[in-house]
Amino acid sequence: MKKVLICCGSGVASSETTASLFNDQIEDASLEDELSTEVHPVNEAISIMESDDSIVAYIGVETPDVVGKCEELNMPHFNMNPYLTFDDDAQEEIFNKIIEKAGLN
Amino acid sequence: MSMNDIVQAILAPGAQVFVPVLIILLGLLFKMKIRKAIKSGADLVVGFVGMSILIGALVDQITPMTKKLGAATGLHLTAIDVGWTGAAAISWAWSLAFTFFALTIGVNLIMLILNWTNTINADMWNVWGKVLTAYIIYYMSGSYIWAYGLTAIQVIIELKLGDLWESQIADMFGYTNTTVTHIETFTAVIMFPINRLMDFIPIFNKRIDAKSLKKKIGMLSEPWAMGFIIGILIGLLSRASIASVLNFATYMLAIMAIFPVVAKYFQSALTPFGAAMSKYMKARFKNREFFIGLDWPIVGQSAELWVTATINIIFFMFWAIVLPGNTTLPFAGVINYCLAVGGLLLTGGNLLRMIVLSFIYTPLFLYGATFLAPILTKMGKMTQAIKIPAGSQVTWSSIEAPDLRIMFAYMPLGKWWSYVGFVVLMVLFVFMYRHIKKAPLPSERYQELGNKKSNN
Repeated sequence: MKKVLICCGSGVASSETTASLFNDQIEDASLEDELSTEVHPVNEAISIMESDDSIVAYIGVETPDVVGKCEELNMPHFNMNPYLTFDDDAQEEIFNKIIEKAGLN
Repeated sequence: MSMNDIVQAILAPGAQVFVPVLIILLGLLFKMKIRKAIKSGADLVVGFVGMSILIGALVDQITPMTKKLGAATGLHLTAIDVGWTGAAAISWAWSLAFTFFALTIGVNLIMLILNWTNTINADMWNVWGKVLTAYIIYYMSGSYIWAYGLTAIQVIIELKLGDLWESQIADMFGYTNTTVTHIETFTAVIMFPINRLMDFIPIFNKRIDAKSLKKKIGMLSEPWAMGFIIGILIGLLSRASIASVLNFATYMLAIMAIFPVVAKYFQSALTPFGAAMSKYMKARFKNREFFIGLDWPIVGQSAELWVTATINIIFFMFWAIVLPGNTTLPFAGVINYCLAVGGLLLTGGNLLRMIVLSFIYTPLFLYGATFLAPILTKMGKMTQAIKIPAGSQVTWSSIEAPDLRIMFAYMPLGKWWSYVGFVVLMVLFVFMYRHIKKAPLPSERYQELGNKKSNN
């Protein structure tokens, strides 16, 4: 099972909204058995990326240190604004990039 | 069985039964799939019950320690901080909570039609912030008219904050037509006069690099680490034995880490509504340029924000101990987003200003939380959202817009000072609004440290 890490400030509101919409995308693509989401506060993001190899992408708050870590790990990272503004086209673009990178398409 | 009996049967068991039933019915009304609507209801139950268990565990652990703290130091920090997640649980449990979706959207529509704002507030999660305000007013006055009327003013203030912050956010983060409509940024208003004074002091007009500092803070700002450190600090101040200090601190570590895990369930239950409401608003104003108002994490990439919030934990604990009359022991709400996010937007990301302003304004929040403690405790008991043992109090140490909410609470009671306070806040808001609109954008406002060129 591959995972997408989704983080906002306290790992409760914006990130959970994003995850809930991303999970719908997973369901629509029938990838429930291959891909899931994990939601955390952004301050835990780096520790989690370092310890969990199953994480294939990051969506959320892009602090400089998190972006640095993603680039070090060659992991795609995205801002979560398209999910918070309910921008369907931009969401689809993010989803497609992630599954392509994870080799799930 | 009369209608009244049915209503009573649904209301009697408390929020964990009533609110999920309501959300399932609303979900079906909004044409959600039955499976999803039922899942939303179940998620809400998990949120309410989980929060109740968690706050119970927190109170059980912390109460004996605060008694020891009182005996050892004479400090009476008896109001336990359940953070914004606890306050949100209490707010969502009010039987009228869902009507505030309608109030938020209704006021927004009127403001847009009259051209008094360019902002569409799409942040339906923070509807609970309106619920909390209204519940406090209703609790104080027993009047629905005051509760809805004054809360409508809060909705208007949020939209005007959205209008103001858009240019600042575009300049700092490069997003266009996106803004923050969170009431926590109202703290910028009361910080404005001191921030204005800082314009005349050279040191406050230079920019410090926050990125390297953010890296150094690293693990310290993870929730579990904050819980542990606060636990150790309180334990040591209480002069408890090393064994019980360590026991207590590890408990605090765990509770702090579990809070977001439980609070998430509220959000996953409410997301489908947020999506439906926001899409409706966007569709209605398709042909007009507008700003979309969102929750504050869209500015969460700022290193200054996190450095300020982390350093402020020290100020929070310091002020909690030295402020006379304070009863709040900061814990779950110890990250003060009002100061960090409000400061970020007000100062355009000037770290030194943000830190100094946080230190100066932290007492406002401790006194706000001390004021709120008996009210929030009674509200929690009334809705049965959370179980609070007799003799204990809960509060929220970083309550958003404490100044505005306290004025709102006393205005229906005819207290003259609350009207004066409200007018002063509104006048300051107008001054701040005009000043920021005229001032150079954040990227041009300050001198880089080590760079002689002045842009001011």
